[in-house]
Amino acid sequence: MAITIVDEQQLSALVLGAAVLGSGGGGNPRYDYLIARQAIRKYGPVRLMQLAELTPADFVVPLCFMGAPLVCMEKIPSGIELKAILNKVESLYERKVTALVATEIGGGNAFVPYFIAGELGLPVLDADNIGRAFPELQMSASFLMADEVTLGVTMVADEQGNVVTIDTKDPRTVETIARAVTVAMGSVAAEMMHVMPTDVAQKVLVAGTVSQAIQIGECILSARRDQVDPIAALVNAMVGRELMRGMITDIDHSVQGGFLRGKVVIHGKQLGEVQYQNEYLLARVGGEVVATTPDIIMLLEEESGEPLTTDMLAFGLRVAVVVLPAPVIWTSAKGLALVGPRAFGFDTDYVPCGSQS
Amino acid sequence: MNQNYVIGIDIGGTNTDGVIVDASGKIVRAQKVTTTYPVDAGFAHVLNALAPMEFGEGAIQRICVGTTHAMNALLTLSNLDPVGLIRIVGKPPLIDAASDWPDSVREAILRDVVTVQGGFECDGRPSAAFDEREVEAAIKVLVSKGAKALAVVGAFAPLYPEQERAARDVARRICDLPVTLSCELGGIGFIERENAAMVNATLGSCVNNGFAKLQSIARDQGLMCPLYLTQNNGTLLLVEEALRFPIKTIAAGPANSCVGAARLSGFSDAVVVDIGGTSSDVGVVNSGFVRRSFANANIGGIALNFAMPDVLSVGIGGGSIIQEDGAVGPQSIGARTLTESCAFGGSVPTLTDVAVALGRVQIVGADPDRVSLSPEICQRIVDKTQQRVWSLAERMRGPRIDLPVVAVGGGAQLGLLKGVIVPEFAGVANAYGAALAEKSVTLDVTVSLDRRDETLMRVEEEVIGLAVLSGANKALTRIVYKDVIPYHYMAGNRARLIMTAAGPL
Repeated sequence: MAITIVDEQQLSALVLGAAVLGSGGGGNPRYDYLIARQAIRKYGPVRLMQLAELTPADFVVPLCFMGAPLVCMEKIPSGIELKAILNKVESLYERKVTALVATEIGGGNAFVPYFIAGELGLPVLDADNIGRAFPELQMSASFLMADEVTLGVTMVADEQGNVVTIDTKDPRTVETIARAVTVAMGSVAAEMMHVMPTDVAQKVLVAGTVSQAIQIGECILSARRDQVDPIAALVNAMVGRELMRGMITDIDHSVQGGFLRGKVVIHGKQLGEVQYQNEYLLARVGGEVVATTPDIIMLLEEESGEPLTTDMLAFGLRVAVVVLPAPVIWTSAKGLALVGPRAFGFDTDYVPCGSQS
Repeated sequence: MNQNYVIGIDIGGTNTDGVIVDASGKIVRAQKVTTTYPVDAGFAHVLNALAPMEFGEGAIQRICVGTTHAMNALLTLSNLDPVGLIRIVGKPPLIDAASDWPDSVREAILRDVVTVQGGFECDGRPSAAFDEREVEAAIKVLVSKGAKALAVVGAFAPLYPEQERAARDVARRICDLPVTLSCELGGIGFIERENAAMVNATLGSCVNNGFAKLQSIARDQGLMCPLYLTQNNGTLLLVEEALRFPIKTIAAGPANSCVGAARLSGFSDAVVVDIGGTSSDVGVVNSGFVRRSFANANIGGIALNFAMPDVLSVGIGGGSIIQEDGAVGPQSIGARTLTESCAFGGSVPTLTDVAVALGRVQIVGADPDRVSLSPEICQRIVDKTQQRVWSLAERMRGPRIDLPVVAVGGGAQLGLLKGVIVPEFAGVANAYGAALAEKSVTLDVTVSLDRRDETLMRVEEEVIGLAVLSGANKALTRIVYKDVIPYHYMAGNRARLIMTAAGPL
């Protein structure tokens, strides 16, 4: 059942689904959701387009916002930043932008394309550049494929309409330069990474993630309406596994190097522990590793199925720990080298979601 | 004769309670009357019923009043002033003011919005040139549209308040509308702080009408002592300050009931369940103070960035209707419980009926035989109620499983909960909490964390000094609330520091 438009109802589902795919990170999407909803109320629902529908005439722009979370809560986007990027792209490449896509589906950035899609009459692609959320910018599909495709430029823009175009030999340096520009622009900026003609978009982007997120959200919402277990509903629909349920009895975290690092302890029939660095990365139950990155580990409030980001954790909450299968690109050898458990310093190999019966 | 008594009054939605408390903290007199609208009549009535003059001229030291008046105005959308909002930003944000409010609430409160250029970046750079003439034009538009109060919100105003203050100066020059500045209300979080500013602005008349006359009513009855209101953290608030910052009073009710409950049962730390006619509120008291939280503060559908008592509510109360499938509430007959419940000859099965049928409580006029619910069903209802309320209590107490759970409010005496302590005078815990209210001063400042311990100690000394200056007993004044909210990723290693010092008068 393909989703072909994003309206207000889909947005409500997207809030939950983007949080689940955000695997604990992705930031508080509240303002992003309010902006997207206001745009849809004003300009109408947005067409959701499949990657396979792209033709050689298409030109895709992946969009997101970068910056300090507290600054994003004070300096609300005006849309001028995003339009400045589109204008710059069109004048630089002398072609029209025909479709927008979210750089990342995990968390608030899932909503960014809808800030302006309706006003400009553009469709949004059912895809994104990661398939979930990860702590660092270079943990993205375009980076993984950097040797196989020619990646277009990156642009960073502010509300004054200033646009900085970043064209580097080594894609790894994009993150460093983009962050420096963002700070200079006031610690929040709109970003496009990277402009993509059709062949690149179809090779790089992870397909179907918007409808996947909406489906996850609708799963939880209809379970609540029907008063059935939202955790079981989610796990069944997304071919995942429930790892345990229990009460949070300990949270140990700190901000190190700009990331929220820590671990949460859950007391259920067995003792569970989930470690995180912005996103949940490793889960142990009864002392044994039962799930690891790149699979999507998530904590949800037991009764409501509400996804809990790492900054929402609180003592006494009754939670369920679930794992959903990783986007396929991350389970390759190349993918695991970048985002597998050993890449984050854990002394264990990847434990795939479907591996235990 | 002991010359040191305090009167505590709680003006609730249904009842106005009053207590007289002696110097040792003992309740020597308690009264309950029906709340009137306007609230001053009920206030005068309960004051009269307490007969404080019998204790002698000058025996009463002060009158402390807690009330849900402002909260009720917001929940019922009555007695509210239409607000004109000024936004001071670089570029207009893609979120309209009050966009996430229920439509009826927005229509009742927000008359119009004008956006003017200005605002700051996180490091203090102005986002755009700020022009007072633009502010003047904005105010004129808002006045012409019928605004009766103004609210001003600027980007990064909590760190850089100068533009908001300049806007207030302009308003004072050209009109006589009261002005609320967002920088005086909350921290980072533009939409929530804007919401708080609008809520504060809209409550001006309601609070004026409700509270301005209380002192003179007390004087008319021969009480010459000072009268205070109580605020969201359970401490005393001068009436003038309540008139300027009505938002500080909206959650005084739950704050007082928590503090009152803990003291009635002799605990400085406890989980408190306040069981009313329609709902139960669960809160926590730490060191005699109600625990407050910024997260998820939501009043009547409006998200706030304002420290509110951390209270979880559930629609279970004495008047909750027992549904056909045995579910309890959320509908309730509230104030009509003692006339329309089955046990009293009415036709509505309520939680009170369940308590009466099981023999957990005896109430004059209640006959268990009139309740048709079977003992098995009643027991199941009680078990489910126990589970629902206890799951909230467990969540609230977190890792501190040793904390006692105290039940107060009219519904506490129904005897429905296991493992809770129901103290004497549970029914007037709110008024008692108001009587116990201490004097406090809160400093809400931005500091550098470079020399963290030194800075924290300096602010601690300052706020304790201010509390003592305002009348708190020096030997007993201590820090009751401290929160450090680092401004991550922003230059200068800065943080918002909120510290409250409190002590008894």
